[in-house]
Amino acid sequence: MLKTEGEAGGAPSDWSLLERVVRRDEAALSELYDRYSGLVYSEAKRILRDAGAAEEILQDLFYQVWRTASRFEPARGSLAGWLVVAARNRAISKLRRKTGKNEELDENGADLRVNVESSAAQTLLLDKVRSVMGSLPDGQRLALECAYFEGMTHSEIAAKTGEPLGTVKTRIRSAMETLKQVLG
Amino acid sequence: MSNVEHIRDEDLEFLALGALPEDEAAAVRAHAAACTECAKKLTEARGRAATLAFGVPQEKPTAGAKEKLFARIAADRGATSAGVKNAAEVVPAERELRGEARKRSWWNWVLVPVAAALALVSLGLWRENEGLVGEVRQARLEAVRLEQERVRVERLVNVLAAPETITVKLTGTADAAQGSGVVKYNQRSGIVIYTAELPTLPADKVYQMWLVPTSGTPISAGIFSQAEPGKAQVWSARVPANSEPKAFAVTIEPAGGAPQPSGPKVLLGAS
Repeated sequence: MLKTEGEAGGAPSDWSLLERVVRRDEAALSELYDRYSGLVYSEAKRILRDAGAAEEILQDLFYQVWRTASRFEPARGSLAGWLVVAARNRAISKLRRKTGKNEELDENGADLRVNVESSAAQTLLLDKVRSVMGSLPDGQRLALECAYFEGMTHSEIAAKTGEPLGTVKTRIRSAMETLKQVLG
Repeated sequence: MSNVEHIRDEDLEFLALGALPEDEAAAVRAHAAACTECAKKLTEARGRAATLAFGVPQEKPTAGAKEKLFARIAADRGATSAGVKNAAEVVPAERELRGEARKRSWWNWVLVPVAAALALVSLGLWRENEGLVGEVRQARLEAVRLEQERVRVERLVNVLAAPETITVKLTGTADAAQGSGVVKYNQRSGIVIYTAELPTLPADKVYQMWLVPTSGTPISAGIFSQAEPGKAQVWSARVPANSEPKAFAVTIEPAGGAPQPSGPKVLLGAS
């Protein structure tokens, strides 16, 4: 865990903060928490529509970062990506009352392909994603939201919308392709 | 893995979004676990799917969530310290057993007390350090609390000073002839600030302030109790902004308050 690039404007990178967390530096964890707690909490709350349950997930994830920071593998994606994916998976499990296995820091990596370590960068990405979602046809947007925020499989989305499975798959594929082109 | 069939890109995208049925998802995950190329594509697909979280309106968790996280971490540290302490208690006993088994050399008589003294000094320094860390954390929490209190008081002062804030004097009814009170109400923000002079109530009763609107049913502006009669106390509450008051009234209600006035009216003032 020696990757330290991405330090802009004097703010320490996620990697350097994680290295300090490995050395039991609570201030570093606090900084990571301040950086990403809003993102993680908002996502979990959007899925669960329950502020208390969303805060539980938030606490559990950062507690896991504290306990197992040394296991984080930079080659498998960014910390922000892992946090977002793990928060989503845990919220969906809770929503569907499933007892899934919690992700470890060395699995389910997610490469965001953009640096979101500053609030300005997060705002920029937020604007970009909102713009893409706003530009998608209703059917494509609904399919994406049902899958990501409701935890529905493509077959369940087809059953819910009354559309053929093939149509739902095409909509998801097209929407993700649009997202891919915009995000680069 | 170049001679095996790779997972289709769309299935990797479906998995990343969570749209694959569990049996298919398990098969894709198993393949990706053994295939560097598909694992890399899956990581990228998860990243793309994860960006959807950035489209959610951002909200901040409560300050209490962070405090609980660090309290949990502090509790862990406390448990670990207890483990270290127990281990330290075991060492002298082991040493004693070993001492009975073999004759101590002259050096042991010198080194053992020195080591014990060093251990005591280390323990003292460690405890001092732990104490300082705890004090710093407490000081930080206290600073946060004071800042929240400062913001609250500042908001109340601003309400009191606002030109549109009205003042309503409350006078005691036949049920509390000596009672009195003052209400300050800011219609724009819906903030109600009040003081009252009333007798102390039994534990199962509370006073409840009501904004009586020009139309509609009374709106609760909080409950209060006169724990220390004669001592100035100020309460504040928030009612829906732009509520137009005809009067303010205080009633006696069961502990916890009532949705609508049900007990005797003790203070009343028309606005």
